[in-house]
Amino acid sequence: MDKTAAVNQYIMEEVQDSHEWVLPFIKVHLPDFLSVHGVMLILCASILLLLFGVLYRKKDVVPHGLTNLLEVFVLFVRDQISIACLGDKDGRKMTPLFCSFFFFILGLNLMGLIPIFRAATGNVNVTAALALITLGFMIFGSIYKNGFIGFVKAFVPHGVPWPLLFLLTPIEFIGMFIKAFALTIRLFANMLAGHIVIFALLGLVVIFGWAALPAMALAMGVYFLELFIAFLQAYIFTLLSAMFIGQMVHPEH
Amino acid sequence: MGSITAGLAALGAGLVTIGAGIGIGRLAASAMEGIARQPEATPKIQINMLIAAALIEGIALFGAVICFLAK
Amino acid sequence: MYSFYGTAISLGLNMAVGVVVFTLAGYWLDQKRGGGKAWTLCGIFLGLFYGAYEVWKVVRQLSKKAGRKDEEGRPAA
Repeated sequence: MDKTAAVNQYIMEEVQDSHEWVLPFIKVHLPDFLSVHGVMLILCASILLLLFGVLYRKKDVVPHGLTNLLEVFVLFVRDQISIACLGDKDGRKMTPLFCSFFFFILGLNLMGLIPIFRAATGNVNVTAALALITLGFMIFGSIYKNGFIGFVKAFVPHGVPWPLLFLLTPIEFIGMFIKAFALTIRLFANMLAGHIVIFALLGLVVIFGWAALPAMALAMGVYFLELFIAFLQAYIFTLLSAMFIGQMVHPEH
Repeated sequence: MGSITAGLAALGAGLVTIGAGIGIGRLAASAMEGIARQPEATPKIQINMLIAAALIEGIALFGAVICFLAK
Repeated sequence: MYSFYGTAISLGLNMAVGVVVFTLAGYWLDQKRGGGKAWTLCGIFLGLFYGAYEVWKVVRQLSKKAGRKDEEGRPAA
């Protein structure tokens, strides 16, 4: 096949979900209930269980080593994200959820940058599942905290003349789903676009030969940008989740 | 991927990105100059800069969605 | 304070996704009712209205903040 089609096939293979995991010299054929992104999810969850369950020493009063590094991020999520958006009491109760979001998404994003693994957050199903968790907390947390009447009253805006309320209340309700949908699309599009750009730039070297060598330098630049965006997107997803859940559970007046 | 329509749609999306980049770049330049002249006004300038950047990004995403639909 | 940054970050994409969702809803209604483009245009208009509504909420929050004054009578940050 000609070079452009070969590069296209390589990009599709690296970015899409399939039942075959193509490693440098081996092709691992996965069974029916697993796919490559599923294996990535299981791997990331196992690494997180290992890091936080086994290697994190809870007994030291002053943390050092790996515990210290992880504790920086855990305290950051607890203080700047969870308590800042949800208040003190609820913030401390909901910190495990936001820590899980942050480290899981960060782990998946970083694993996408390692050549052997694939980017599981570049799959819209994964990000949609994470945003559905946020949506569930928004709806059921608000019903649990404010009762059903309070949940409906949170959608009624203030300061509008009363005939507009009939138009604005359903729009506010649909707006809740739009916010969750925007969460999934933001993470998905950022990760997918970054990976496709890197692979396309490297594919230019295949098609054009020596003339495309500056494309390698550009690909390195985009790779470091992707590293920064991995952290940033994990932070933004967690921050916006906390903010939306906080807005629904404690509606401001 | 070898059709003219898809190529033109990709070109359109690139032009939208250029427009958004220029707009937000000028916005950031003005914000930096404002902060440099008067550092104590930094929170106000930051908040307004973020809002204007969000609006420009909204327009850019409209354009990107239309280019994606035209494919 | 972080909730305000969160609002600003999510404003752009919320507007775009709102327009797309309402337009697709209008398109689906059009398909169900046999054809024509009336409901699609309604969807686009409703999406733009949702975008403007979000911006209005942010401007209202900002003007409320600008209207406050701190203890010495100067405008709050």
